[in-house]
Amino acid sequence: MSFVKRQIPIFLTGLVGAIMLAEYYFPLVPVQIVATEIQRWAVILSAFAIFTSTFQLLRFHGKKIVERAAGQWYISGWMIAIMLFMVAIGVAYSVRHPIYMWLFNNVYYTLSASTNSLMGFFVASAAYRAFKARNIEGSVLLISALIVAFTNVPIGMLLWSDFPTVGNWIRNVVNTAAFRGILIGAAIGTVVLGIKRLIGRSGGYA
Amino acid sequence: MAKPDIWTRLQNVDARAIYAIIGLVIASFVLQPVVLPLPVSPGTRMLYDFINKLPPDSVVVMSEEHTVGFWPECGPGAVAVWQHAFQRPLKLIFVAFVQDGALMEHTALTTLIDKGNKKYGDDYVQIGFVAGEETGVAAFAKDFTMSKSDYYGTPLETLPLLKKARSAKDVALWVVTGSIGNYWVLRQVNAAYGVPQATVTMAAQEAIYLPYLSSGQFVGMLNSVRGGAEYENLLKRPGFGNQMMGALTVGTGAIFCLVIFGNIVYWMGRRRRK
Amino acid sequence: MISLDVAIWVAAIFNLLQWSYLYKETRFFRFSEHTFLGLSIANVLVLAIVNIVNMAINPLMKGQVVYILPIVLGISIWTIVWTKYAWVSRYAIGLMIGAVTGLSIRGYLKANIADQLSAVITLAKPTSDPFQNFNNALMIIFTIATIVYFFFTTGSRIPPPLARMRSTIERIARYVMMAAFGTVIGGDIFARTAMMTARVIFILKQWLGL
Repeated sequence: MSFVKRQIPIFLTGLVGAIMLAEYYFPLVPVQIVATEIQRWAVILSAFAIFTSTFQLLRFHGKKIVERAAGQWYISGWMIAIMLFMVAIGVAYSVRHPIYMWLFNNVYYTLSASTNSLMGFFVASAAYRAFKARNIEGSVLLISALIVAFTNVPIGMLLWSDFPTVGNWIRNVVNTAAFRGILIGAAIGTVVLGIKRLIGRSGGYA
Repeated sequence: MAKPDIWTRLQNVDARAIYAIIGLVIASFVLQPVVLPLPVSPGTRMLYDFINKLPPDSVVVMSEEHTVGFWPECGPGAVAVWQHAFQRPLKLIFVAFVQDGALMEHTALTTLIDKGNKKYGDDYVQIGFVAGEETGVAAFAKDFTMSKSDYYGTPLETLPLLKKARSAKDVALWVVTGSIGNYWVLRQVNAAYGVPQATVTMAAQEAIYLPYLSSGQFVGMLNSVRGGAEYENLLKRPGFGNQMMGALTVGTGAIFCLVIFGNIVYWMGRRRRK
Repeated sequence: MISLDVAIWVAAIFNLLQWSYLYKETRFFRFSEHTFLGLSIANVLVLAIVNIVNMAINPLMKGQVVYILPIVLGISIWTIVWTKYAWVSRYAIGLMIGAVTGLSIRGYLKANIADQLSAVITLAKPTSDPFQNFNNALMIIFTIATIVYFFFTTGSRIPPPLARMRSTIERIARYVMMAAFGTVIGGDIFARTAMMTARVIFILKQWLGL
């Protein structure tokens, strides 16, 4: 039974991965046709996969409602109600329906942007408390952040006319070189991990 | 127990006081706007010149790859680039590989962009959302009609633009707005088809994308609101980017002044304890 | 003058409910947070359904019988929520993982390794500007130092001269990376301040009309 439950899915992963690689390095027509169809199927499967997180969420909040969890059940009920309402409008009419667009532009957008704006306040507080030059490396981090931040904002030029020159040198030489090294190293690691996954040597889903 | 000294009290100040200070600083400069000189960054200039030099009827794909909450940061740049593209004789394809992207594109295209005499279907189309993230990008790059219908439900096969532009091979430039989508397009479009890529990115990601700009894989990069404001100035159409820059500049400066103050407090406290 | 638009008022109220978290977590904040969650999931679900209908169900209805396979596989993913039958989802997940892995390997090899190494090698070509040559040399040294920093498999015994050299290279890499991370932090603070500024502009200008 382990063969059906484990070995075949792992083999399928490797086969599909090999087809994707073969399509790129050996562009033969039959391989291209199969690879194109697999990619389309993967897109469809991604759409189906979105439902699983919704199931879990509905299960969690549904339990809160059934158990009448104090201080939570009515908020969970409201969440499910507004979710179902918006899904109903979107599926029955379309995402272009005025009510859907109104909810998206005025409520969802506002809530999303406001949540992100909270991060601004938290970052200000965290920067004041935690951004300390305690050692040499921390000092390098802090000085680099200060110089580049004042390069980004025009006020830096008014404080010191050479801020942009120094800041751009840090960005274009030091930062570019460091992240280039990180990108190359991370890419090598990702390729190795990917090959391990395709040959069935890494754990995970199976 | 001894009362903590001033430096300790300053280090442990209530976070809400900091929120109030920053909020008040930003609010002051929203109510009393300050206009500061804004030199154009090289990345912004590169993209502007690249779009200006595209031959007529070149196909440009614009993809929106961030959640709606980041629209205030990426939106000014995206709108400016799209507006520039509409001003030129180019063919435009709008697509999104993140759910919120399709609706943001629709809202911007219908309320913020002056499309001139460009005709939907002939000069521009909006594909809508394509699921699958990187796989979706790969599948879409191979065949633009794979999602069968556009954002409005029109079969893609009936749109004249998509009879000429079938895949990434026909694309002259791909502009990604957002962050994570840059990697998908870089790997599945830029690397696979050699399509020049540009980005309107978030400020936190800009540093990470500089190697791609330096190597020529990106032909332009707008850095967050500042890039958007610069592009608006290049187009001579000041918009939300410019509106934000004054207060944003002072707000960022205020936070870093707090950081410097916090370090002074820390070191004074440390000296006192010794 | 203060706005009379209902949409602006609704947006402003939700904005202030979210910001109430800055004072402390209240049931007002939890109400707006759960509204956000509900709408977010709804939007994702609707677009997923549209994708499934356009890409699988409509072609199936038009006679392309092969699309029954991705639909069956897609439904099989849902078995992951039942412990007893979760193994059924492995076929669909295996296909997705295989596709993504294969696609990303080929992309990483070109975009992040070949093209980036090519850019480093190009820097070795001398230019007419001595300052540019100096910068290029620094970039090559810093890039190599950063790559060496992340190589952990060096064997159990390294000769002391090599170990000292490695230690120096790692120190250079650490400082270079700290400077680079500082750049990211500076950018992140700028980005978050932009979010704050946008909402303050909305509240003061669009809602209150100041």
